[in-house]
Amino acid sequence: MDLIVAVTVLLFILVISMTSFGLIQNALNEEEFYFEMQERALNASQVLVCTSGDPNTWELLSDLNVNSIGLAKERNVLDETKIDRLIDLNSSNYKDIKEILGLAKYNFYFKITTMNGQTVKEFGTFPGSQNKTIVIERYVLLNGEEREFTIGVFE
Amino acid sequence: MKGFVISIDSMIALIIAFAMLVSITGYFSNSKFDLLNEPKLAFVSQDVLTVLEKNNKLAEAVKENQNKEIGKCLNKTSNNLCFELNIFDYDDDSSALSTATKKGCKKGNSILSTKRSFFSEEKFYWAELKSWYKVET
Repeated sequence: MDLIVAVTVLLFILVISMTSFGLIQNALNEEEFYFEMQERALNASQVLVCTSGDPNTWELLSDLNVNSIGLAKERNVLDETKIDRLIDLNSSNYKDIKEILGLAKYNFYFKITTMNGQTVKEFGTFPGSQNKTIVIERYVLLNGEEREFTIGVFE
Repeated sequence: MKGFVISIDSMIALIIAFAMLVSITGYFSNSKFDLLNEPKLAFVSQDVLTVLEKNNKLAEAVKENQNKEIGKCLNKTSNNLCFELNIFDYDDDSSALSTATKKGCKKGNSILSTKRSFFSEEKFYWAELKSWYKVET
């Protein structure tokens, strides 16, 4: 009888522990995944909004053989020519652009809107309603006007 | 007596097991995801200050001695963000020359301070932007 009670209690504890550890492990993996996604989204937003790219006249090149892509003339002041060139490359070089921005594992979009939310420019693939998306908002000047720059990264 | 000891023993074992589970779950529930909230706020704060400086809103605020335009800009930022901007004379930071606070913002717990110097009418000034996430009440 003693043995049966002891083994039953032990089994009960083991089952609960294993189930809980499984759930915790899944939650941790998911958190790690979205943390990395958020970190990469933040880095990509910084590169796009604050740098000109390397070479800094990459928009004039015929191919996309570049080290980095940036959209700024100077910090937080965007260059419309660079934005339009990137939008032109959307259909043919989306995958390469993702890789250059460090977002190869994910999909992404960015849009530039007025401060009232009207879209001025947009690039990339937009998520479906089921996709959990990391959204980073930044503030920029485009042609002398204040604009909101939003980048969304999803699986 | 023996049965009583076994019952106590198993109760203690169960309590210890549950305590361990609760503490492990509690430890992991402090989400790593929130760790990036501060860098995100820092980037946005630098953006706001840079934009205000580069479109001359800071210089105009000093020149015209008003904060209306800055207030308008701050009010247009994302709903979950709060800002308070103070402009100081570079050589005298005892009192702000101009102050603007975003509408509907009460001071939060964790406030980030970002500073930027600028030039207006041959004088140096600096702006301090205090930023925090909106606390829903």
